[in-house]
Amino acid sequence: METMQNLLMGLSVALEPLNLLYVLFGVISGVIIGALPGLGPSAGLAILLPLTFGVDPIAGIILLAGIYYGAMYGGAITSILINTPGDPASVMTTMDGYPMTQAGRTGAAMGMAAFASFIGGTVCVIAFMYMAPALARVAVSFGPPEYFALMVLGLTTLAGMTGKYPLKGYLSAVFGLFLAIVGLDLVTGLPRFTFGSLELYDGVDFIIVAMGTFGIAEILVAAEEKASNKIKTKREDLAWRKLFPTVQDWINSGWHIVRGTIIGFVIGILPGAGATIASFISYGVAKRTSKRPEMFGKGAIEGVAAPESANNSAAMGAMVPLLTLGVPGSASTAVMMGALMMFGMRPGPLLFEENPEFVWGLIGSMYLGNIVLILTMLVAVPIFVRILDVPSALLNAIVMAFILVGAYSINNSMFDVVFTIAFGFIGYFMKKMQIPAPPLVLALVLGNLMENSLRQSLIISDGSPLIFFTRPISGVIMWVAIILIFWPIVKSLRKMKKPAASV
Amino acid sequence: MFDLAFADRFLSVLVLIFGTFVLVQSFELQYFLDDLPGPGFAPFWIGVTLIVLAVLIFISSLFGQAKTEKSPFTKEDMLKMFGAIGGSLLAAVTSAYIGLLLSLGLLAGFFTWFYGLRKWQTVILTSVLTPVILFLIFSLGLGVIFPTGMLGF
Repeated sequence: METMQNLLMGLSVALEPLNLLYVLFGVISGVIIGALPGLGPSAGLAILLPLTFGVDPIAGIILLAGIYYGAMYGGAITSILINTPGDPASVMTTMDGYPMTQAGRTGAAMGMAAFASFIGGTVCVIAFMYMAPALARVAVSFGPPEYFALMVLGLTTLAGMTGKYPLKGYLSAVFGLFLAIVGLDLVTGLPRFTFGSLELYDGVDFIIVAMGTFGIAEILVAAEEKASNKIKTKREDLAWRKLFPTVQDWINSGWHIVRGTIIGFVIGILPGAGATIASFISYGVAKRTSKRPEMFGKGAIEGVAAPESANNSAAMGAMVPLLTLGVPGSASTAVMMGALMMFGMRPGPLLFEENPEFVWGLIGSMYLGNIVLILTMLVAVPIFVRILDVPSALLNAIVMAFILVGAYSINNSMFDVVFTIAFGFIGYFMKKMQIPAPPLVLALVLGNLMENSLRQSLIISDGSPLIFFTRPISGVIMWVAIILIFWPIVKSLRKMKKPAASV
Repeated sequence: MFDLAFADRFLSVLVLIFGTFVLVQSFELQYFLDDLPGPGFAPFWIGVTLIVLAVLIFISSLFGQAKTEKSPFTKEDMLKMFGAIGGSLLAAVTSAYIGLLLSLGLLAGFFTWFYGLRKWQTVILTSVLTPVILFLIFSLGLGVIFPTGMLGF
């Protein structure tokens, strides 16, 4: 009952005209950004974050959430139309989405992707609504040791699960931790690694790092690719009535959407797993359980429905640890956590008690976001397709100008602009060297909290690090984190042995 | 042509130098303060971890998967990247003289031309429209005040 009351309150907040406008704007801009190859949800959030400066926190987070859902769906558009996933979570959608386009079924593929995303997203908002407050109530009892353990877990899982080279994932995370300690030490007030620059006394702003390493680096790398983005779909394949899947399509896809939703939500909750893994697993399960597995890869509509429901569900699932524990499980939620902190909010269990309007307003906007997403898709697909026809040179130019002006707007400082360009340069080399950027941003966001909770914990324990292992909850989390740190290293050592053995 | 493993070795040397720098700098900050971690505690361990990672990356480059991967860097790509970064930095520098909006307009035009759209009409239109859009969104919409130049905007 209390949940329903809270939801009604949240919906009334989300339905305020201005907030509704933010949902609409967020979803549409998210879809466009997500559809641009290379620019996924995290880059989209980083690039559009400056639009939230100066607006009130509820409107700001509603806008960001809209961008997030929109971008999650937007990735599917290019996957289906030009066989180029807009983001990693849409890779599996290309497998059957593009063959459907080749077979003249673009509309059905786009429609099914939208409906599957809508169902996955909406069901998971309901699950989120009941699960998050309960988890938050448990997490209220967490002290600094538990938080420190959670931060370690958040970092290790992401570093371990991103990219082919785990060591490089850790390198990225440690570099992020270094950036997090730049600035005045919170306890003593001593400057650390500021090199005499007053601009660095407040630390390195995560937005600058995110816009550089996600936004600029993506532009630089995408500009190297000579692939043509030209849409070859006939306009009549995208006619409004063709966007609705047939009854047979629903029969083929129904259970796969249900399974994809469950898989996506569970995986989304786990820190570090995220939408990409969810869509891969969901596609694999769909293929194994399908009555017509031979059709997979040749244009099976359930091959679009399963990964799309999973990646949107995972996006919702990832909001659970972010809002209840203050631990972002992915790059996108790390950017959102940074934004929350920028708004003066502290993500975590107390958020539900101290700012119920904010949290429930966000939940209300999730419902609306999903509805707006599907309506937008049904009405505006042909327009989005035209946007994709805009030459990438022009899009790169506009996005670059947008990023730099956004960087300036943070503190009205040209120093930030130059810093953003520098991080674009660093991000470019990281991408080229296959060093994942998400652990860097995640560590930067978590670093300060981690150092503070470490220091507070050691004050409680009179300097004994055993406190992290002797308290039951922090102990379990720490051991899980330790296993997750060493597992990828053990795996890569095994891989190294294999080629050596085969010689 | 060098492979990714060579690039990894180069990376490991850079990380080693950087890690050593962080470690040395951490000695100037107090490691313990009243028997509890001081401001030098985190930098010390970050420096140590960077050095350990540098060594591990170096070792894995000798035996690991990277040996089979091609170099990610080509001369053409490097020129493109330095052109884009150089252009952006130039825009940041010139903004002090001609204003941020105008310099970003010129940058947008440069990017359009640099990345392959060579029609002058398109380049000029991009240069003119980009600052107008940015002005409408950020200046009028969000109240951001941009640095102006000698032309007064």
